Amino acid sequence: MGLVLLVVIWLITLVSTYFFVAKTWWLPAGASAAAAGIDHHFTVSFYLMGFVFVAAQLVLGYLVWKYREGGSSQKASYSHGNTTLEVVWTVLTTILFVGLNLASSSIWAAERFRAAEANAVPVEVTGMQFAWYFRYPGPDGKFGLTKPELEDASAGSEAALGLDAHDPASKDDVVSGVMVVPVNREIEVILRAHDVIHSFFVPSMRFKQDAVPGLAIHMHFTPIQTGDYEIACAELCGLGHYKMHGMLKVVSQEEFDKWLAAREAEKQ
Amino acid sequence: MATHESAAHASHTHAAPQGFIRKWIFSLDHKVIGLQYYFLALTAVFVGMFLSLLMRIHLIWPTATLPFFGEIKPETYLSLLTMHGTIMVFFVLTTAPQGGFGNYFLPIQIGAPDMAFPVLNMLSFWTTFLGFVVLLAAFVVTGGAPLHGWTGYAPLSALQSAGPGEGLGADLWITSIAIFCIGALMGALNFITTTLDMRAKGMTMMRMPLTVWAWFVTAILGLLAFGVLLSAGILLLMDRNLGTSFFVPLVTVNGQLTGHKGGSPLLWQHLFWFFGHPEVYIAILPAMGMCSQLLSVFSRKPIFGYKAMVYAIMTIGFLGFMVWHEPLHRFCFLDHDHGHWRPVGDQDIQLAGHAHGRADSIHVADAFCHRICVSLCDWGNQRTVPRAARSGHLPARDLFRDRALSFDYGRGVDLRNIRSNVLLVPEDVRPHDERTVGEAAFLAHVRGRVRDFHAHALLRHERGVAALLTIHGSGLHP
Repeated sequence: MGLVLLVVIWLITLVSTYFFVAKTWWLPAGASAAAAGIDHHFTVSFYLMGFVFVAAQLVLGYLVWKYREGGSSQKASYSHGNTTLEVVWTVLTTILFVGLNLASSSIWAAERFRAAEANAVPVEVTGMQFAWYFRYPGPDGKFGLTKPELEDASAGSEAALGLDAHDPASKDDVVSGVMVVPVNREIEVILRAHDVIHSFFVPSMRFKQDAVPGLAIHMHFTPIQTGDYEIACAELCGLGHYKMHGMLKVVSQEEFDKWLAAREAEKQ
Repeated sequence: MATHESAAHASHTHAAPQGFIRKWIFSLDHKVIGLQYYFLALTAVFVGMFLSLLMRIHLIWPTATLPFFGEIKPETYLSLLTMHGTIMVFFVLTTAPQGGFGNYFLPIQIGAPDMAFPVLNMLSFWTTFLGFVVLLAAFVVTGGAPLHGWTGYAPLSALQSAGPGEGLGADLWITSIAIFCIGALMGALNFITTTLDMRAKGMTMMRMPLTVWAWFVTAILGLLAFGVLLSAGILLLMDRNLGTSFFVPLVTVNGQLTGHKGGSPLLWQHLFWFFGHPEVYIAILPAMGMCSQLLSVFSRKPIFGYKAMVYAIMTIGFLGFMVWHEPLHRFCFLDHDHGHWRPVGDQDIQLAGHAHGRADSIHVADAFCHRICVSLCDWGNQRTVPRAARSGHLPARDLFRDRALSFDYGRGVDLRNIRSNVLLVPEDVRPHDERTVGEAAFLAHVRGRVRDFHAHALLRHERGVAALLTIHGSGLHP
């Protein structure tokens, strides 16, 4: 019985470790400036925890086998515990957890608490059942006024956001169903939601933040590779949650300028 | 004390009831009530498993037509998901380890004749049972079961128009949870009183089996957590049916104004997770207690580091509360602390300490797996606080000042970013200047000088909303 338990424990450990080591189902390649740091922290936590996990399971299996019933002639020792051991493992786990927390705090803060750069490209991202809309402030750099009573979801774009045409700042606002951004520029995301909570998740950018109705949440990221990336809603938002996709197109600065100008021209 | 004890004992020396109804239905006997809880949980687990099976069938064959059921549509899938989660969390994980095993074994293990309040015990079971029936009723009403997930995040759970199943089904869902909370509160009172007051002579607290410690701490968690969830449930019912706006800001569904205004979706999350996070430990602590006890018995050794285990159980309980905002990180919170995993880790390791006795230690493997997996999954949600941001000093009069305050928070901390991270006040009650209320919330944080400031922030939130409604009633999206 002891041997069976040992085999089962080691087998579970080996098989689960294999899936991680072989990376059978892994993260998509990172395409933002912060991705490398996030992935690094992930890898460090992963190896540390993986090491502890495997070591603990190996020792556990061994002990289960060694002290199996009838397997050893020695009598069970009588012990109420060992203070030194307890202090050692308590201190070690504390160091591990506090250390990991400290190591990651700057990563967390970098996209949230540090201000976006002055020349960052502002994009207002609005989630609604079940679509994403992206608004650019236009040449004046100001987002125009939106009014909930003007919203018309079926009309799409400007109307879906309830853009107030009487506000001068809204004249040059561009609203798009695809998020187009220039490469190697910081993108300042202003997240909003109209109806329920949605979550703006771009796996390739390692970027995820909920859009909460009533709040405007500022975050920023810098894409470093051109290409098309999937945006998925990552918060259960109702019936059509499963199909609430969006597209992030990262293009060169010239292409971005051209695209924005074309959209401006379309509007006039 | 002596009279109290004898009186207490007198009331428990009831004769064994005869007849099926007295014995099995309106039973006052803790063992029978324990079994009732256990079989309720067992029924619930089969219902939950069945729902899970339907979900998996849908995932494998999305267009399959099932007998008696038809095709599983997206909304049906979400209803299955919601009901599965709710049943498993409330009626299985909370019911079996505490209500079932706890009721049966706790009095026996501390040498008490029964639970302290047998009638309350019976009531708490039947209340829980009623909650289960009300929950299942959501399947058969018009619109079907709700689709907002077991966490019921507002505004999705608060708006009848937010989706199919968000009508009567959602009302029944939240009513069921409120009823469950009442049952759980009665149970918690009983456990705490019994443990404190009815131990046999010589059974000091530090001699109690670890199972009893686990049930005791779980009961304290339950007493604090379910009270909060109950009130949250009542507020949500009011939002849904009486036109209040506790959890709903100014929102539009499909371009239509809902008539709600000024509420905070995050308030629901605070209240929910103030239950939801301790709930993790309400579910796991009794199991940990049982692991320790079984390992110690089968390895024929005393508990390895008994005192440390007791303190670890208490610390887990305490930290389980202190980190209630952990699941809110994706929404907007500053702090994070995985500290509560540390005592859990200690427990695991101490369990391993037993393993060098006899071979009954497969649970240790489980405990390790659980901890490592959760730690790995949560890798991204690590803690951070802008240290520089804590050093601000401001007089109270600046709290609702009109214009942007110019501070040097050092290290380029951006007020706007911090605002959105501490802000509980929704935009639609904000004055035109987007910054002021955010700053108010932020300053509440700075001035509070408490790391876990959210409780303060909630209070300030109420005052803030009241103050701001008088300042400016109709600020819309800027």
